[in-house]
Amino acid sequence: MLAELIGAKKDYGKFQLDCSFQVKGGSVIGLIGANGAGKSTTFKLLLDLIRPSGGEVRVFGKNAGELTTEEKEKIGVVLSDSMFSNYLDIRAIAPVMEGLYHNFDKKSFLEQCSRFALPLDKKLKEFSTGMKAKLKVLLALSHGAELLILDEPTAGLDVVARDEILDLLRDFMETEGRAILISSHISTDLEGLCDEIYMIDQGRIILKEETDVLLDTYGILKVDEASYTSLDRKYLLRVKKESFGYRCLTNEKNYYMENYPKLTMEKSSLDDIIFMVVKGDTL
Amino acid sequence: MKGLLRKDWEIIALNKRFFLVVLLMALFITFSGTDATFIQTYLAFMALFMVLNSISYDEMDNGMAYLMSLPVSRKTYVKEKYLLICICVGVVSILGSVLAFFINSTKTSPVAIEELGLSFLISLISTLIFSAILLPMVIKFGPDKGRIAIGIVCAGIFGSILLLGKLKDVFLLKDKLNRVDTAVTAFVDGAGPVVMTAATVLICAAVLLTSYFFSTRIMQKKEF
Repeated sequence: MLAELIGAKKDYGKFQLDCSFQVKGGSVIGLIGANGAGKSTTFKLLLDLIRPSGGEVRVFGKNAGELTTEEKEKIGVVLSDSMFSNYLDIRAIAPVMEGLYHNFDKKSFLEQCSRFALPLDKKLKEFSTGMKAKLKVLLALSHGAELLILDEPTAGLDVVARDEILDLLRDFMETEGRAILISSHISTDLEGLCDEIYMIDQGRIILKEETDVLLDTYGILKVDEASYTSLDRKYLLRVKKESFGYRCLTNEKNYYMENYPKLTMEKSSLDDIIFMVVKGDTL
Repeated sequence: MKGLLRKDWEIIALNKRFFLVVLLMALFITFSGTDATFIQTYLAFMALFMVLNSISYDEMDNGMAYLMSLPVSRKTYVKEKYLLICICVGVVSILGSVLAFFINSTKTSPVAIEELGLSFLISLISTLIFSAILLPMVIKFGPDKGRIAIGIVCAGIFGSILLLGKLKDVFLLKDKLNRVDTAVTAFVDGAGPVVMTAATVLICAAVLLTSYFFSTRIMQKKEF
């Protein structure tokens, strides 16, 4: 197990986090949720930036606060709202990374920066949002990490750059034993990359499922009032009243397609599932 | 720590033009004034503020969260700042003293070499003691609130000295303070440069180590 939260709690008064999940070697775990749901809080617990008020936070089998600097070198980090000082440029950052990481590959890092058209002599404050996003990911991948903890790594990137970054992450996973924990608002990125998705809302994990299962067996039923009355609701996870009747989330799409062939069943994207889990009502 | 030192060197180097202006101003003031020792203390304090500035850059735009996610322990971060202060203040104090020596030789009434030496030790000790008070406050409160806290502490120290001055006639403090003053003056007059240097090093080390202990405790408890 590369990282896990075991009943980890964090109390911020009006907001309480209480969640558990695991990141095993060889897996890519996606963490998805609305703004303020607790994604960044979860990442900060794993990175020992904040201390839990209960439960356990373990990385590489140890308490997150007890990692040595050598163990921390095995973690590659992207934070959504933080990085090196905006007054540094890449030429200044490279020797800093050399001093921090034994396995920092300066030559390869600078080559990747050139490949992604990142200017080496411009201060970070002159970088666009997309350029900063690319640099953050390249820094995380530059030192032979085993575990990547990426908080919104593709935010601000255009579709081509996102695809290139996701390819880098797939290449990263070619080596056995590595793992990625990634959060994103761009659910298509997670659909194409993650093995498992955790959905977090108001500090709690509300859904945990393999990505393939989510995309293959989950679906959105659209039914009118009359059909809803006679519908078998056994496999309905969430229901939302609409002008046409009801929108229903199910995790047994095939059951409804076989037994109610006349009803409208839509293939659900991750965004649809998130929307229904957060906004829909439980039965 | 190598990486942190490199980072701070890059940050300090950003302000090289500003420090050149500061140096030129100090040279002008020292040349035109009567006291060649001014430049020693002035530059030493500028070196201190250079290092405190590096903490401002670290904290800017929530940068500390990223720094603490790198393979850097909180203790190492604090240790690096203290080391940086010792290096910067030490080097700049020596530079200031060399400049003071040459400027002093141009004066019509130059001060004795021993006085320059004593001034070097006093500026070093006062800057390092000031660092020892400032650093934990800046680490605890951040650069902006830290400046306010520093102002309050300085006002407190100054106020305490004034109060002591007023109260020395009360509680028979006057005699005790006079005895302390006499003892310190006798020690300084009687001690040679080696003893004075050793005393400076010991006092600075003791004050900085105590300050480092508090700074580390503060940093360990911080959340980002």
